[in-house]
Amino acid sequence: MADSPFVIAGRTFTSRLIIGTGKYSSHAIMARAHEASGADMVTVAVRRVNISDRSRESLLDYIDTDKMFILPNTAGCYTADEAIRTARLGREAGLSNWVKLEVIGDERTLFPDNEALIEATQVLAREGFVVLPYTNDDPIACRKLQDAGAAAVMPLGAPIGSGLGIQNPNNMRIIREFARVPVIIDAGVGTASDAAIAMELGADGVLMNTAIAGAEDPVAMATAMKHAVLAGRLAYLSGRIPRKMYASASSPIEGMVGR
Amino acid sequence: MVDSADSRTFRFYLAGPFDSVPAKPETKKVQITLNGEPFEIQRPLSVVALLEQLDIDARRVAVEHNLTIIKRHRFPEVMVRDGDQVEIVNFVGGG
Repeated sequence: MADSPFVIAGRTFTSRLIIGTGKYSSHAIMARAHEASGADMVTVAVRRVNISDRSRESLLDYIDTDKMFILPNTAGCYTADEAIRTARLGREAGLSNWVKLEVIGDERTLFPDNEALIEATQVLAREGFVVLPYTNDDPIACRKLQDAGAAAVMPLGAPIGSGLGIQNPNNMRIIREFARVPVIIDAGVGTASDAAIAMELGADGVLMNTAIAGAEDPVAMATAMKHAVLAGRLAYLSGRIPRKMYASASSPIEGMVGR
Repeated sequence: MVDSADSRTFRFYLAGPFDSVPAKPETKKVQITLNGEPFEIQRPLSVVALLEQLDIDARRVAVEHNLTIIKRHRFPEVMVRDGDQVEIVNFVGGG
């Protein structure tokens, strides 16, 4: 069962693992984690330059943009207008017209405001952006985002940074069944098994930040995640056995001594 | 000795009806809002000159001038003047 390539908006990625650049204790550790993960796309945020403190290192000094595709996000935006403005700035900062679109509805949960998200997706898709919206595990919201022109849908497994894993696996399976664009499970992954489960549910990719950056050993966790995504994808393609309520023996009954 | 009324009339006559306020030299500093904070520059500057003054690499930022995003090739021509609102953003770590 050879795998099909991982393609979003006509661009092929070699890794189905997408990771973030936030929350690392240093840029150097971030760079090593990126290398270990095998990812070829990373997310970044769009923020004001620190005018008074010019000594801080630039994030881009630690990312090889020839090998790594940069996906700007609209993190921290609570309205469609804010997200649209940030997306446009992200495009202008130089590297592509792709955007991980976030319109947040609540500060504690960081759950998306789907209504505003769908509106912003429509506007940005019309302006030629490749929109990857961060949404929740609602198959209807995912369908509406797809109809609005999203190039992929990115349902959250659990709240950002929570490490709870995939909270609603059946919905994820349904989202994958309905969707005609790639499905990337974004947010909530805590450890390697969560990433494997995401891929076993049929996700085309997984996006994570905190699970790696916040681990005690981010480089080791990045390696684990790389293997988990590969293992989960392969398991998905292999046609797993069904779940049964009772046992079905693995060893033959005939030929038992003493019977 | 010319009294003040005469001297005003005299200046008005010489200067013409549209020059009643004599031009003063540009000593007033230029106050702008930069990344949400008040900021002062010595005189109106182009975006490229402002970035140079701030030691910011123009290739790694996006600039918004009075809520309009300025394309990089226009940095030398767009002027930042008194009362303008400028936002300079770049990429930072994020998820």
